[in-house]
Amino acid sequence: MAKDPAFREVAPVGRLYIDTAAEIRASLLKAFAKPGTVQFRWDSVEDVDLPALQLLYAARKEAARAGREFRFTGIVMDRVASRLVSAGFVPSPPLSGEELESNLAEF
Amino acid sequence: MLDKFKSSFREEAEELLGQLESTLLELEDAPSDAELLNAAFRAIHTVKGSAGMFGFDEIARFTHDLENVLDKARAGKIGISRDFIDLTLRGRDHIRALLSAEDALTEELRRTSDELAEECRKLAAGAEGPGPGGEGDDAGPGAQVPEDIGAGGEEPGGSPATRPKTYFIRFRPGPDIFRNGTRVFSLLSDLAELGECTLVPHVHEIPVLAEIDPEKCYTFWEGFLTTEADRNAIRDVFIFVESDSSLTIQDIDETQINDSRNKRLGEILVQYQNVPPEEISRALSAQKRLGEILVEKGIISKDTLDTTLAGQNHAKKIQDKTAEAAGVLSSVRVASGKLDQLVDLVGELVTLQARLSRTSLDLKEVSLAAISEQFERLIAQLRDNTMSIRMLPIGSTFNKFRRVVRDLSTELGKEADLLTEGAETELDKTVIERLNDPLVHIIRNSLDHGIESPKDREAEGKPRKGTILLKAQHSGAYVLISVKDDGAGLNAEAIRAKAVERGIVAPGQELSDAEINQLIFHPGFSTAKTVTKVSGRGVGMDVVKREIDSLGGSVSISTEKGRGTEMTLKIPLTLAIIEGLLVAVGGEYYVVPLSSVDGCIEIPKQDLEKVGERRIIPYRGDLLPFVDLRSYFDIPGQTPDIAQIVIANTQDSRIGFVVDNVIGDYQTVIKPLGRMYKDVTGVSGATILGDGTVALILDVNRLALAVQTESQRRVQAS
Repeated sequence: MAKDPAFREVAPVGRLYIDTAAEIRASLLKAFAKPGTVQFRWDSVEDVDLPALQLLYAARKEAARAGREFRFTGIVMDRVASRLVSAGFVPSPPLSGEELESNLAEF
Repeated sequence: MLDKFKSSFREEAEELLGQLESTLLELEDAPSDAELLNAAFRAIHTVKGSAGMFGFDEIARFTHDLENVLDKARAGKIGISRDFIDLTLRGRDHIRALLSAEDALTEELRRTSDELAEECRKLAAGAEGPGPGGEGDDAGPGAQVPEDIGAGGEEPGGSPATRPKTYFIRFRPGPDIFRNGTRVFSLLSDLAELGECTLVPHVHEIPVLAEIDPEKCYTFWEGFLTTEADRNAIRDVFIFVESDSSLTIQDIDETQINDSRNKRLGEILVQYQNVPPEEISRALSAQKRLGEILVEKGIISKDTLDTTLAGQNHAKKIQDKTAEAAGVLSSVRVASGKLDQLVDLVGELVTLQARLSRTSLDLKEVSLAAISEQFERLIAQLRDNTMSIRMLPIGSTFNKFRRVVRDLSTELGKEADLLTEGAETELDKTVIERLNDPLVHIIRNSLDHGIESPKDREAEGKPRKGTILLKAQHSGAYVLISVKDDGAGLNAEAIRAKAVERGIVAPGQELSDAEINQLIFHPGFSTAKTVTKVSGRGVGMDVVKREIDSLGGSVSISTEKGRGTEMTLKIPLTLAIIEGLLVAVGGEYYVVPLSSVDGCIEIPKQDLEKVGERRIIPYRGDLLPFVDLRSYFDIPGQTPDIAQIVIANTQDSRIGFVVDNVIGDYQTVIKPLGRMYKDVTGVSGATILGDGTVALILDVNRLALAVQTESQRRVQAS
């Protein structure tokens, strides 16, 4: 995957609350500004709230509109997984970004 | 079929009457506790209703009068007195007697019914005058049951207040909810903590990345929450966002939930999502059903379609019935005989597994060994699960003794309370059943011989009312059950004198206090000066000891003159399967219960020979007696040059068993010994090994006692 020259990765760090939303949107827009697959890495995400998740849905729609690919990767931390379960986005805690991508509601 | 229902009714009625007894006894201690009174009423009301339903007319007829008395008490028209408790307890006992009599009602039972019913009616009639309002509310068989616990509101599994309710929730956060720092996911986590929560996020309003305002909320939720919390508690979760969000909390009744399982999508959309029914009809008429499409295309015939649909409907009906049963029962009532069969089968499986394991070792076949190991793990799980099903809290037995103490103390003119501890301690059901009689004997003895009369107690400076503490606690693979009274304690002089008189001990024979105490377990021993119907016939304590021995347990006594006596029963958790240590002597195999094993040591044969008749070996800085199983069981052959000694804990010390070889841990399915071997000392049962050989299970305590007796005999002889 890393050998793909057109591969763009967004890998935020820490807690993705409202205060980081504008920054994440900017990173995603930047990634989509160039051709190739866009990937969101969950490894360093310690917690998440709705603003960040909405951005990921928006990115997915963006990718669909532009005929691009948008993927998740990395390990999903327990706290993040349990937030997503209790908010009804996934039926059970996902371990990886890939698992989250395939189970995220209406994604 | 009706017999099956009748049998279920008997079981349930027995259970309810057991609960009623303990409830009434508790009520006697706490007469103002309305909940206890309600519980007693509910029990009797249920028995009455079911009795009528299954044709137990005499029970239904009699129970009606008893129920009426309890109802009057609930209405505050009858006070909770000792007489009231006496009458209701006698009524409860009579219902049990009627249950046992089945259809063969004797004249005496009918007379008792009439007499007790008359007492109930008198008590109820007497309540009419002084009661508030005094209105005649004689509840006939078809009369309304009071609203709070009547048929509609009856909650056998718990009170209505704690019963979970289901709510439909729609939460649409305001678009600017993030701007005040609200973390929506935290709110939803709090909501999920209230109970079983199923939320569906709706995200279709989220725009594409280029157009999204990252600080605006586009998502909303709908879902269901089943919780014991009330509507206010749910609203509290959203309390800080309610002003700029939209929140709907709607009660869902149980029938709606059950219906939803089988409802079609269209019906649910109409019910919860306000979709007009005509829209659903219009959409449905525009599409063809799958079956129609398949028939049109010639893939299936019309007959096949009809049969398949009929099968589908049938499955639905079956599913409904299953769901209904699951909704009513949180547990399943199983005949104890079936449980015993299950344990027997698991025992057979364990034995078979041992054979498989042995065969795989003999064949040195790797793949078979792997299967055998996996099989062993599964069998161990199955064994543990099966044994856990048989485990019951001992509290059910404890409750019976409250009645014993109450009735007996009245009969003996004494005053005593029974306190219990550790009622939740679990024990194999067979063990619990067999403990009942020994415990009754011990408690009766405590009351009859231990607890003094109120007058004597006051003279001794004790409270008038004596106390018997019945306590259970786990101790490794055993349960310790103790009965402790604060009575006079055992009279060592009287015991000794009686033992001499009966020729049990020789005059002048030296005995330790512990040995004197043990004399009360001797057959025919009794120090009571008068034979009462309670005890004093000397048939009690030896029966207790024999029963406890047969359970693989032991009894110990500690007593202090003037302060009381404590009898402790040490009982194995189960009688079916134990972990054992398999040992070999010559061609014979023995199992030492692993819970008794303290360790294993090796000792040269010549060292054993040196100690000769003394039969004492050093072990961890102590000197322990040992028994050579080869000579004890008269097994031919020689002890190996290096002998193995298994050290086992006994009731009050330790003992070594000299064996040829220690083979290792062994899951032991206990099989009873035949009648021929029942008097063999030192063996409590047998088990079958993988190759079909029989191994005897050692009774460590009995062996230790036998060795001790033999040693004393040798000392006296020398």
